[in-house]
Amino acid sequence: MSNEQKYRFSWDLLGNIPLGRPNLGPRTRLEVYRLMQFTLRDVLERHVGAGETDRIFLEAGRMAGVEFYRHFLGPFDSFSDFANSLQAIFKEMDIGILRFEQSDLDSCTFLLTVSEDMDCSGLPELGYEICTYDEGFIAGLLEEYTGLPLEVQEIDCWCTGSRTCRFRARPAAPSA
Amino acid sequence: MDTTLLEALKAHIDAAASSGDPQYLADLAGLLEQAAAGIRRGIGQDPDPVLRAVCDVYYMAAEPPDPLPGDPEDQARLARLLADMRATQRFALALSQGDLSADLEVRGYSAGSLKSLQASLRHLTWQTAMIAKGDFSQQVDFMGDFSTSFNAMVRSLAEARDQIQRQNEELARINASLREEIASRRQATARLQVQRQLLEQREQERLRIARDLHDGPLQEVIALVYALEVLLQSCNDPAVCETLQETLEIALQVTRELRQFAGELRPPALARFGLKKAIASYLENFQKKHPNLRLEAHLDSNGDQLSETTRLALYRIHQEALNNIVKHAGASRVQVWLQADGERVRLRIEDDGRGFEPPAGWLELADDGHLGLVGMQERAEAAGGQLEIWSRPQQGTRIQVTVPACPSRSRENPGER
Repeated sequence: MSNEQKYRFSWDLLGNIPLGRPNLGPRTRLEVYRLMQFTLRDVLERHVGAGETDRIFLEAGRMAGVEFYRHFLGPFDSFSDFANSLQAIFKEMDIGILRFEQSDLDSCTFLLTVSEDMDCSGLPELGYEICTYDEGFIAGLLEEYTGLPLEVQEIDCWCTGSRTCRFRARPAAPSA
Repeated sequence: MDTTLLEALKAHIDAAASSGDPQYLADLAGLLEQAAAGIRRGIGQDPDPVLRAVCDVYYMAAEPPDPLPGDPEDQARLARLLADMRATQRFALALSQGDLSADLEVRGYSAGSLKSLQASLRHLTWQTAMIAKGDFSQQVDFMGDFSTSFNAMVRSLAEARDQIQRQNEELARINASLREEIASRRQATARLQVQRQLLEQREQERLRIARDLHDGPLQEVIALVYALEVLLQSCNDPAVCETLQETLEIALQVTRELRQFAGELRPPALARFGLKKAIASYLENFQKKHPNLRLEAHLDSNGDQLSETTRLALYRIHQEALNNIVKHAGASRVQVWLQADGERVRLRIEDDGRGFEPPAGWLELADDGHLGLVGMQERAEAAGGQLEIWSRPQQGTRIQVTVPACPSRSRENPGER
């Protein structure tokens, strides 16, 4: 079995949805998305361990954020336009209710919340944050806007008892 | 402070101490320290810190934890629950005191709703900061009636900003227009200054020529007249006498013409006699020279409200206009008006001569050789006035010059009459 990459991502891989789903359209139910993600996570964790799985989810989320920004957003004349558009498209596509709590373009630090998100809202309390894919996704979005590598960390999560997920973004530490 | 309350507090604190929870005890100890410090400062000075500290202690001590029942697993679960509840209490207390820090450590579902409220308030704070930076696109879509008021406020701010922007743009436009106007006026002023200097030089040159004529050729011709008169007195030959008499007549005629020519060149004594008299005097001589011309003067103003330079300009314009009529118009009737109101003085010279087709502009006028008219225009402009020429072939010509009056002129210079 060849280890050569078979599915290098491109937006075309998502296909022509109106053509392919003329009756059902572009939407599916959230539990289906979660079913697919959590089973994938389960298998990955068993094969490569939880730490490596987190790294994979983070990387995939970042790639998704970058592609999402390039396809649906930007470029923007001002941060306000970016923030408003991001908030609007999150709501329009049922990704979640995004709200900025802090934004400092000079230091490139951001604090934002996503309520009713796709990954964790309504999950049992686990005592730890689980939105690793979202961390990557938000990092990809903000990196595309700022042009700087960022590190995004979830500091509040439904799974730690919060009713909204809170993410802190700041410039990534230079890699050794 | 009421000692009963202190006693009650002490009882609560003792009860709390018996629970044995080190974190809880530490919290209580800290709060008690604050209360004690407040009490030491004295209620009379600032009761708020004391009362707040006492309330905090009372709040913490209100429900001291009971010893946990059950097996170790249940005890652990209950302990976690109690820890969450206490964390929630601390979080709620901080929230009630306006502390919206995202770093407040609290976990568990019991605090979840409060954290949602905190997140909403934090987002609202961010929105307010964005509005303060001029982002009026911020809209609140949560928090009920507050959203309506907040969004209305943002709309009002945006409208006020837009209005200020429009006013600024209007001001900028007016400023630009004023700058252009100022530049244009400066150019016009500079041009007028040059014109005035040129006219002044021209007057000086005329005066010099008039003096030269008077002191040179005129004196020589007068000497010639004397010589001829002497010769005539001693002459015995009738033929020679006749020739001498004719020569004397010619010399006298030359003398008169030289005097008249020098007189025209010399500026009239406007300051002494006034514009009205100067023009009237000129017209009288003009009528004598051109007896076939029907000359009518309507001189209602003396031009006292005009400067000396402006009066001279009007005099020269009227002079030039009359000379033009004699040279070119072939007119039989000429009328001269000099009128004034509070704001301007108007001079009009009208003839019934052959007229002409006035060119479109002054440059064409100069190109067509109407240099006299161009000179009139320059004089009128230098005086801050306007020259209008109306003429049609075979319908005569009307020249009108209007100059602004200087109301204080006659008061300031009463002697210039």
